[in-house]
Amino acid sequence: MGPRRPLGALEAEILEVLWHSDRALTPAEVLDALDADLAYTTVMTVLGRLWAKGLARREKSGRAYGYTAAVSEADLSADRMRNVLATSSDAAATMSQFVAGLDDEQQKQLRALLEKRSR
Amino acid sequence: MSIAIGFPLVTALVALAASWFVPRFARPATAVWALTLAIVLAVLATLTLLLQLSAAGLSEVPVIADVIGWCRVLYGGQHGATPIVGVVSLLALGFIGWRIASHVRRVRSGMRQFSGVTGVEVVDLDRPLAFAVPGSPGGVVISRSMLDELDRDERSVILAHENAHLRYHHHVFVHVAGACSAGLPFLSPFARKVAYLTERWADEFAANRVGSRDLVATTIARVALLPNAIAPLHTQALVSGDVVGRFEALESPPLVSTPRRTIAVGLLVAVALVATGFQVHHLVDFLSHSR
Repeated sequence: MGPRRPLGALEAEILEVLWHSDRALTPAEVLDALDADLAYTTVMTVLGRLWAKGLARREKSGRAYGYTAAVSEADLSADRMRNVLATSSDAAATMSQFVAGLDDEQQKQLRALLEKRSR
Repeated sequence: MSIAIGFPLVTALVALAASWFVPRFARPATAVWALTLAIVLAVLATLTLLLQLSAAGLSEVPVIADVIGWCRVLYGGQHGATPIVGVVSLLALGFIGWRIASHVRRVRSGMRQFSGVTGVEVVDLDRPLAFAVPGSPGGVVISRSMLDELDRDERSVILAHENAHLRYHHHVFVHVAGACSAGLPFLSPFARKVAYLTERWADEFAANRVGSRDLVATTIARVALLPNAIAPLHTQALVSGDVVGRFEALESPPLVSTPRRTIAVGLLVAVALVATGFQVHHLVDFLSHSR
């Protein structure tokens, strides 16, 4: 059971559930998969937002919608943010990126490790 | 005043040095806590010492002594701190404070640029990029090129990794350690280690979620080797070899906590707490006698 999370973090967690599933999930199933104490309507709201953003597809399954993950074709993000990322390296530097780029030496090292592993 | 005034600092530095080795036998979550605690403690010890030195030194100047009413019961005029020491300590205090404040300002203004992020935002950017935006509402920013390059499982890894940052408030550890090392530059390697270990923490969380450490390892390697990956920035850049280290850690068997390891971490925490106790004791003494 996690602590209460803000809506933005919740949206990311619910999308994680969708991305991890290989079939359509109803809001009730999503709620089950989350280890958080949430209202059903909250999950519905967030799924609706993901759908509106193009990050989830939905189709009627029985009485509820079933949701699957999608990668939206539309560019959702405001131009403002794109500009921030394109121009200001300092802004992105305050965030922990998933991975930073590697220099040549590190690339070589990583490739060697990958090769050793696949053998 | 005696040599005892330096005792909390020495204890704090011992705890700091010990915390360096915690990642070898404790899981990343424990290590992040231990290191951050040790870093904060070292800063508190340094600041308290400087505060005491400047007050003691300046109390030698009669005019100032009258103003701050420095108590001679505690330091008896034999503390050996000259006015020069007092002035230097005061300047050092001011400089450290200023460095910490400007670090906090810089981080704040950097974060503010992402305050519009609500939930998951896909940005049309031709570089592989993903990061978590803490705060409320907060969320995760992912670049389109990242999503296009990865399959479903790999996307799950990235999102789970970023969700771990949000869920466990990793930015707090990273920025607290960063601010401390801005004030006291000798703490920089420790702050970088904290940043690196929050990534390790998130990697292990993701591995748990997707049920495969190997998948997380290969995803990290794949993303790092994508063309156009953003080169490490000199500000707050993670430790060099960071990605390689994470890959290797995930490809080795996970750490299991054994009684001996638990005791070792417990001991370190105890040492840190003792140091804190002395710290508080000194500070209380200091505050209650200085007026």
